[in-house]
Amino acid sequence: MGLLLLGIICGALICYWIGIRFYRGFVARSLGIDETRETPAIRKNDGKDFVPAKVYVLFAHHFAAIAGAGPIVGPTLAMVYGYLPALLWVVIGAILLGGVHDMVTLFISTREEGRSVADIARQYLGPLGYVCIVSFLVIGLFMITATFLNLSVTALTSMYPAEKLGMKATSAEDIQVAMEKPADSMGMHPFHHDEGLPTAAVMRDGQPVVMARIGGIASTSVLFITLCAPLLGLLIYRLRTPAWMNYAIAAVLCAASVVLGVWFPVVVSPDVWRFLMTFYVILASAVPVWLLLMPRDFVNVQILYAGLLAIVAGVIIAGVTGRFAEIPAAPQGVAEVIPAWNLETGLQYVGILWPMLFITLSCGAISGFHCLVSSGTTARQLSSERHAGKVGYNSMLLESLLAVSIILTLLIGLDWKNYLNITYTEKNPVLAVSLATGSLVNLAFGLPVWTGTVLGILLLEGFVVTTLDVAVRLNRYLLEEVWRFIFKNPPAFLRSVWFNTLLCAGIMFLLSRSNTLPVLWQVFGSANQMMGAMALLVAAVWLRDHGRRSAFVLIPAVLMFATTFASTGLALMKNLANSNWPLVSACAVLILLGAATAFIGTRLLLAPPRISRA
Amino acid sequence: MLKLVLLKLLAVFFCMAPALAQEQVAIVRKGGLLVFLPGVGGPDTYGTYFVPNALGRDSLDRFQYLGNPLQINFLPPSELPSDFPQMNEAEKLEEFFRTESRHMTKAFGKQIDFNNFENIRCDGTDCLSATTVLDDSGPEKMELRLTARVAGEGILHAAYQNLNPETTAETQSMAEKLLSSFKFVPRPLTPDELAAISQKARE
Repeated sequence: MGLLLLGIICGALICYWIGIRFYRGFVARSLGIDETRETPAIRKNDGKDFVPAKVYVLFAHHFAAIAGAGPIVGPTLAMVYGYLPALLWVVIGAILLGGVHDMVTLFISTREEGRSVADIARQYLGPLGYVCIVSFLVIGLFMITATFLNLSVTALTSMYPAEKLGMKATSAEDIQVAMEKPADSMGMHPFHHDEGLPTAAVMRDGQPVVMARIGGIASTSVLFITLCAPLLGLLIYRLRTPAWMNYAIAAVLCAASVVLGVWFPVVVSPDVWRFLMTFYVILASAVPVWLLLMPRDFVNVQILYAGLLAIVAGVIIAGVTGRFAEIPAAPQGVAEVIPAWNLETGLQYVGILWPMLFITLSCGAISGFHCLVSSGTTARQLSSERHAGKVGYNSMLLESLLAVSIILTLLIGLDWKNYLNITYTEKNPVLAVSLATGSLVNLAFGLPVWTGTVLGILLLEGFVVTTLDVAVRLNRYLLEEVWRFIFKNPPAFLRSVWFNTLLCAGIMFLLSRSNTLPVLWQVFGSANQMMGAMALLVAAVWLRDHGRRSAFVLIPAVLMFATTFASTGLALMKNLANSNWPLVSACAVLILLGAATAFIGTRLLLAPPRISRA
Repeated sequence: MLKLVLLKLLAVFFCMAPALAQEQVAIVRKGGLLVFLPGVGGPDTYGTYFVPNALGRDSLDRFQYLGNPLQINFLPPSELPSDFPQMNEAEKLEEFFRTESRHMTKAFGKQIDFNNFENIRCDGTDCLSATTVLDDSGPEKMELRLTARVAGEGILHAAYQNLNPETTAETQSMAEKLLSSFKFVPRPLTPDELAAISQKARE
């Protein structure tokens, strides 16, 4: 088992190296990257949306923006087929499809003045193609932002029994004393625990229990980092402080935010958090990128780097020492480990391997959302075309490494029965990852289980918030483009940044409170990958029209169209059998928009090139 | 033409959002249009739930509850049993569920997410029952089966059966406090009523 873990992690790293060394170079040559060419960030620098960024800051922003909950939750759900299918698709898919998708859309958007994929499609696929893609993207982004807002709120308000996190047991008398104190706004009785996390006493199953408020630390961390972000923005973009100093300050801020969280955890109700997060994304979407969005992502991503590093190191140490057998959650030899291959269980819980594995794994391998980030905020800040590969391709591979780490963490930290129970019966994949991370950290570094669990929550929260703020900004960009398409001269209010921001954030807030959202999300899961297929098709047409080879994007586009049509078709048939007409309609609309785009793209690719530019 | 299509699509989506934002929403189909009807259950709700003509008796269609594994069917009056409560009672039933969380909040003096009704069932005549579990969000685990009887005068009374075998005296007291906050008088189910509901549930 130890050798297997080491083999997997080393194998994945070697594959990434080969991908970066050879395939990224091939893609760069195919695109015709020109280092001397001025990018829109420099040419149109307006100090607001178009701002040339240093490559390490832009990489941090791009990675934080593209890596949401997908690479954590997706692999967790997909391991129901066993760890091997998930592992293979995460590594191969990222190298041959996901990385290419992100790099190519970033490059093309940079060549097209930082325009979005939808706006580029308007020129290359025509008005019908544009309407299909932009309506798909706008509605998809509303769903994504609302879902991520809810995920964020769930993480920030999560609790778990303190004893199960390895914290010291509390006497019944102490709990009883706490229970007699007045409850707070959440119905919890504050309780002082001698070690570890902030806690509160509540009644569970008729018994008083001490619950660790694991979300409270992340809450304080989020608030602290957000408040400090403008300061770092001033340092990086105005005072132009050196990179080492920026990293050092960001690391100190991160560490301080976690320590402050342990001392002063913020505990508020989900609705209050929902409101606060909405207020934050309004600011992050409307004010200049350098002031809040970019520096906040830069600070937050240090936690993500540290977490990722800790997990990878933990897996390696576990592999070398072979101490994973001691983990209480996975007593190897007693409990069954997660198998390499188990199609039967996968079929039972999710569906047939193809297409469902590829949809369930979400953005661990390829994601359409990434094209929005690439052609939205990132392309407007790329200071040189030669950075397109470093930022676009490499960050996708880093996201893939995150997904691999999550798979291995679960393999070490949870046994098969517990995995199935927590992930599918209790429907809480986030908890499964957090508990497995807790076990891993305990094993590898000898730290208490609760530290790993908090790390898991901090990671998830960091990824979700940094994706949420960017997604709202991207949606604002898209709406601004839509108004310009619909109206020859849009009214002043439709051109207003604040109006469009408020519209995006307002709809997101309303949708997030709906019980309808989780149901609709079942259908929109495959929409993310379909978005990716559409972007690859636009890229193929663009490359062909510019006289460049396009097979390396066309083949992934065909694969992803086939997969997403199959999964959406399956969902349509299932809902049709249940006479669930709203969901049948949603599936039909998705297939229609996807099929129309595929038809237009295919017709154009079969016709002679229309544009021939350098 | 395309611009108009896009504008209409976005307008419909923007108009839908406030309707979707209701805490309890069913999506129903009426005259070819999707209509959002607040107040009749969440995605965890399942079972069969008949509401006659809550949106207007004339053009009632077959309605579909979004995401419901077993469907909630809204049937036209012609398909309803003759003794099924008519529109005013149905509205009261809706109100019953819509105000549930407000009642709970009032009863316990704190905010409670009351979004997890299960097993809403109706025998097609005059009885509707719902099981709810107050677990993660509530101060104490409590499983209650609420049964609201409806007749010409509206909801006559609600009965409850606590399904939690580990019920403490405190839980029981809270359950009674909760039910007493409703405008109808709660009482425990009689064995016959319980058997009848179980029979209907099995059917």
